[in-house]
Amino acid sequence: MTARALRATVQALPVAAHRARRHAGFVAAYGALTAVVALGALAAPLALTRAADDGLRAAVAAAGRDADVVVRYVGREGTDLRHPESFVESLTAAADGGLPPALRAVTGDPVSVLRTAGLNTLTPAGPYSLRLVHAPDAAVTWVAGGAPGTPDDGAAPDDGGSRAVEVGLSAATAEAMGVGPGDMLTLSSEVLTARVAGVFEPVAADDLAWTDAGDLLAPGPLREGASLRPASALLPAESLGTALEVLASGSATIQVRFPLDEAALRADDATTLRSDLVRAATTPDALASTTAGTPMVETVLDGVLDAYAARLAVARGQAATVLTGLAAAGGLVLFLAASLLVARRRQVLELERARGASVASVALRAAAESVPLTVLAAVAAVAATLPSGGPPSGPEALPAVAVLAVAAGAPVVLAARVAASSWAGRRVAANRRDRERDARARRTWRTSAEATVVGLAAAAVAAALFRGVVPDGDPLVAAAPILLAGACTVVVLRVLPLLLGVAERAASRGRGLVPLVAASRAAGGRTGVRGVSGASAAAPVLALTITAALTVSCAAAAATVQQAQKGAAAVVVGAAARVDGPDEDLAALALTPRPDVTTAAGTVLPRRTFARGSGLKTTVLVVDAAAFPQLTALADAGLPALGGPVPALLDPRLERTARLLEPDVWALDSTVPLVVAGVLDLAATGPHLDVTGPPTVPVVVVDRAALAASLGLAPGDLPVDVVWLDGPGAQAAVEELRDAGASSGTVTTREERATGLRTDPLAVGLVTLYLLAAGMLAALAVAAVALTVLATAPERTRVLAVLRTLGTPRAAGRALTAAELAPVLAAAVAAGLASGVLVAVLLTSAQDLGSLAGGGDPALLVPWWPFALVVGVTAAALAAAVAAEARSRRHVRIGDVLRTW
Amino acid sequence: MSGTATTTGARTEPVRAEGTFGDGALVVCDSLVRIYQSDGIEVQALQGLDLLVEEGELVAVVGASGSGKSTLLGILSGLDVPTAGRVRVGPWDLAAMTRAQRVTYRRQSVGFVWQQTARNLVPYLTAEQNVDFPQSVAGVPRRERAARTHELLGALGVADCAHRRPGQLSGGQQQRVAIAVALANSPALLLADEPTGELDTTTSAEVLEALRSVNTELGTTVLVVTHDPSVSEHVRRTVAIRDGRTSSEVLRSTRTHDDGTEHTVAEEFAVLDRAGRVQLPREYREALDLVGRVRLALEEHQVTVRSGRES
Repeated sequence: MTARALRATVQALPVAAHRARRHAGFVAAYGALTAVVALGALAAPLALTRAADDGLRAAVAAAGRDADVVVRYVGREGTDLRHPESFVESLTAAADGGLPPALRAVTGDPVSVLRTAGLNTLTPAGPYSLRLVHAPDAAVTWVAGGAPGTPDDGAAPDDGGSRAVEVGLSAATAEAMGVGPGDMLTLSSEVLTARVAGVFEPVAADDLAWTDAGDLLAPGPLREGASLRPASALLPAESLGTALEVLASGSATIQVRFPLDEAALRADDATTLRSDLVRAATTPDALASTTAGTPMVETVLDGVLDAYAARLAVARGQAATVLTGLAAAGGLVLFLAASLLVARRRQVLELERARGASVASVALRAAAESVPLTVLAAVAAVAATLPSGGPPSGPEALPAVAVLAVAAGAPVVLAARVAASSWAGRRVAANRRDRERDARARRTWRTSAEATVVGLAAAAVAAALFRGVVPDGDPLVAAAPILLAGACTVVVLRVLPLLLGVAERAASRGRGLVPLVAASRAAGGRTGVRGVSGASAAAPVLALTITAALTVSCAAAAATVQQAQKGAAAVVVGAAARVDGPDEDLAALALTPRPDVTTAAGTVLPRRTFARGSGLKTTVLVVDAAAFPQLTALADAGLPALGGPVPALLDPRLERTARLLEPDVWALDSTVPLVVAGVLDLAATGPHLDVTGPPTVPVVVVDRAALAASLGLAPGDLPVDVVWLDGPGAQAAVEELRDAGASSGTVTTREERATGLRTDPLAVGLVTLYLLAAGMLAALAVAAVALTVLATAPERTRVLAVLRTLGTPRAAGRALTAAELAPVLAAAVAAGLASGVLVAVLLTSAQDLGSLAGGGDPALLVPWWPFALVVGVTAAALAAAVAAEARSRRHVRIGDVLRTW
Repeated sequence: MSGTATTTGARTEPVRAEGTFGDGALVVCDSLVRIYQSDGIEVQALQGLDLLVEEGELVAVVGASGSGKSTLLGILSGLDVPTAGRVRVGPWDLAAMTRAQRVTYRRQSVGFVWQQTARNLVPYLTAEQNVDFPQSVAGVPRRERAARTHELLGALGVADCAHRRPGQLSGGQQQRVAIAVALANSPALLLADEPTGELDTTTSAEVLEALRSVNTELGTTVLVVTHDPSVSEHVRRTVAIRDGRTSSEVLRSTRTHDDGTEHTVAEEFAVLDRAGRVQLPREYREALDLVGRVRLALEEHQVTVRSGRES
C-alpha cells in the first residue's frame, strides 16, 4: 500500500466511529453476544480443567496414604553413628533433596520413621517379636511413667554384656504384654535390654506421623506361619545410638514418607509427575546417601495417574467435541449477527465504494470498529473468568480464540465482500451458451463444495469409529458432529426448495394471497425473490442444524453416562453388597443364613499357570456357580470325582491353548485338571463377576463345589476372598455387619458405589459440561432464529406494505412472517435433531463413555427432553420474533416504505 | 474502427489518429451494448448506442422507462461494464479497466448524483463530512479538503447546512449537497440520474440551476438523465434514447430577432448512426404504414422512405 493510499485510508477512519455511533445499539448487542459466546468458550474448558483437577484429587484421595511417595532406605553396615540422631535426618534430607522438583512440589514435609528388625522378647503375657521404632514426628502423651531417654547404664560395658536402652510402649501394647513403667525387657538373647520408661497414648492416632508407625499403637495379629506376635516400642533419639550399635545399622530400615498434597495436584501436571515418579523409582541415584544402601521408592501414585490419565483422555476427547461444537455454533451465530450488521449498512457500503473507496479501505474501516469491539468483549469475557482462576491457555483457549476471530473478522470479510461485489464491473458473457457454461460451472462448484462437506463428514465418522478416543482430542473426530450436521444441512438445502416449490404451487391454487407470498419468499432460492431459502439460507440453517444436533448429542451423552454409572455400580459390586477379604470370618459370613439374603462366596486365585508348559498366566475365580445365571453351564455340569477334572468356563483367549494342551491349574496345594464347560467373556458378560487384578490377565471360572469335590474337601473348607450378598435383606445385613463390627473386610454396597460414581468429579464435570452446553446451544438457537427473523424483516416489511395496498390487513404480517420462516426453521430443526441422533448412534461406541462412567456398559440412551427443548425453544423464539416484528411494524407508514423501496 | 490509438491498460493515450470516431470528445460511446440476464430472461438494455459528448457540454438524456438511460449512466460512472462496444471518458477506456483503475476513475474523473436523495449521502455524516469523505479516500490533505468542502458548499448555496446531517436537510438541500459530494474531487464529468425525480417544481429548478452553474462556472461536463421535460428545456442539447439506441437529439440555441429580442429555438434531429441506421418515430411509421420492407430513394438533398406495399 502506497503512502498516499495509507493516508487516504487512515483519513477515512473517523467514518467508522460515526457509523458505530449510528448503530450503537446493534454494535453493543454484537459486542455483548461476542462476550457471551467467548465466555462460554472460555468457561467450558475451565470447568473441565477444574473437573479434571478435582477428579485427579479424588482418585488420589481414594488411594489413601498408598499414594504417598515413600523412600525406603536400609542402613549401611559400618556407618559412623557417633551422632545417631543425624543419621535419620541425613537420610530425610537426602530424600528431600533428591526427589524430582515436580514431585516434590505436590508433596508435603517428609515424615521419617526408623525401625529395627523384630527382636525376640518374653513378656509376662508371652513371647513377642518386638521392633524398636524411632518416630521423631509422632506426638504422644505419657499416661504412666515418663518419656524414655538414655538409661543410666546405657554406656558401653567393658565386659561386652547386655546394653540398655529406654523405650516407651503404647497403653494397648503395655496392657497386652502385661508390662508397665520400670519393667525391663530382654531383647534378642540378652544383647540388648529395654527399660520401659513410660506408657503413652497418641495425641492423634490418625496423624500422618503414625502412618508408618502404626504398629507402635497396638500389637499386630499373629501372622500365618509365625510363632511370635509382632509389637513395637518407641525408641527415643537418646537411645537410638546404643540400639544401632548393638543391632548394627544394617538392620535398620528408614522410611521417609512424603505425604501427597492433593490440593497441589493439577491434571495438566500429571504426565510430568508420572515421568518424574518413574525416573525416581528406576534410577534413584539422586536419592542415595552414603549412610544407606540403594533407596527404593514405593507408591501407587503412578498406577493412579495411569488409570486417571486414561479416563481423562476420554473426557478431554468428549469435551473437545462439545467445545468444537460450541465454538462452531457460536461462530455461526456471530457470523449471522455480522451479516445482519453488514446488510443494514449495505447501501452505505455501496455508496462508499461508488465514491471511490477501495475494498481494502472498506475492510479497514470495518476492522476499526469490529477489532476494538472484539477486544473489549474478550477483556470482559476474560475478566469474568478471573474469579475462577483466569482464562485457559494453550490448545484449550483455541475455541475462544476462534470465536473471537470470527467476531472480529466476519464484519470485515462481509463488508469487504459487499464492497468487492458492488460496482465491480464484472463482465457477463454476451453469448447465451457461454452464460450457460458459467452457470454450469457455478453448479459444479456448489456440488463439489457439498460433496466435500459430505466426504469430510464421512471421514470424520470413520476416524471416530476406527481410531476411537484419541488422547487430548483429535480435530477431525472432534469436528465429526459439526460435519455430520453440515452434511445434513447440505441435504436440507437441496431438498427444501423442492418442497417449498410444491408448497408454492399448492398455495397458488388457494385463495389467500399471504400463503402464496410466504411460500414464494420461502422458496426464494428457486423463484429469484430474496427470501430465506437458497444459498443465503445456508448460514442460518447450518447454525440451527448444528445447535439442534449438538443439543441432542450432548444430552444423549450425558444420559448415557448417567445410565452407565448405574450399570457400573452393578458390575463392580455384583450384588446388593459385597465384602472383600482378606478376612478370617468371610467363610462364616458366607455360610450364615440370613432372612431374605442370598449369599454367594468366591475365591480369587491370582497368577496361576494355565495348562503346565503353556506359559499362560490366568486368574482363577472360584464361585458358587448356582448363584449366577451366566454360570449355569458350570452348575449343570455336575460334580467331579475325587481328582477328576473340574468343569471350567474359559476366557476366549485360553480356548485355543485348552485344545492343544491338557488344561489344569494349581489350586490350594495341588494341580487340578480342568474340563472346558464353555467360554465366558467377562468383559462382555461381566456383571456380577468382577475380578480384582489386571484386566489383561484371562480368567477361568470354576464352581466351588466342583473344585472342593475334586480336591476331596467340603466346600466350606475352601478359603473365601469375597462374599456377595443379595436379596431384599442385603442392605439390612450389611448394616448389621457394620454395626457389629463382624467383618474386617471391605464392605461395598451397590448404592454406595453408585453414589460414588455419580459424585465422581470428572464424570460430574463432563456431565455438567454436556448439560451446560445443551443449554448454551439452545440459547444460541434462539439467537439464530432471532437474527434470521431480523435479517429478513426489512424486505418482508416492504412486501407487506405492497400487500396492504392490495387490501391485506395489517394482522396478516404475523402470518406472513410465520409462514415464511416456519418451513425453513422446521427443516433445519428436523435435520438437526436427526443428525443429533445420528451423531449419538454413530459415535457413542467410539467415545468410550464406559470408562468415564466407571466401567458400566455404555448402552446409548437418547432422552426425550432435548427434542422438546429444541423444538420448544425454536417455536417460542419464532413466536416471540413474529410478535416483536409485528409490534415494530405498528409505527411503519406504508407510504414511507414504498417510497424508499 | 480504424486509427492508431494505443492503450496502456485502460487509459488511452491522448494522441489519437485522425478520423477516429469521437476523436476530441470527452465521452465516446461507440456501438455500446449491454445485456442483462435474470433467471434466463435476457434484457438488451443498450443495443449499439452511439453518443459523443464534448468537454464542457451540459447534456440531457431522455427516454421512456426501460430505454437504457440509467444503464448508460451506470456504464459512464464506472459502476457497470458494457457487454460489447467501446466506451471512453477522457483518457479512460471504461470497457477495459481493472478493478484498481476503476477505483481511481471514480475518485478522479467522475462524480454522480442519484435520484433517491437518501442514497446519495451517508446518513450519519454531516453535509461537510459527506463532502469530505470522497476527498479522504482519495488522500487529499486535510487542509485542502476543508477548503474545497467549504468552497463547494458555498458554491451550491448550502454552506449554512454544513453541520447538518441528511435527515435534517430538505430534499433540495440534500441534492445540492449530493452535487457537492460528486464534485469533491473535481471530476471532469458529472452524471446525474433523475436528480429532480423526488423534488417539487421549485426545488427542481434550484437543483437544475445548481447543475447549470456547475457546468458554466466550474467548467464541468454534465450529463443529466431525466424524465422531466422542464430539465431538457434548461439544456442546450437533449439526447433521446429509444430501445437502447440514441434516436434523436434536440439542440437549443438562442437567436436574436430583428427587433432585438432573444428567444430559444429548439431543433430536433434524428440520429443516423455510423452503420447508417436511423430510427423513425412510431407515429411516422404508423401514419405511413412503414413496416417490414420499405423503399428508399436517394433524391437531391434527401432520402425518402416509402412503404414497400406501394406500387
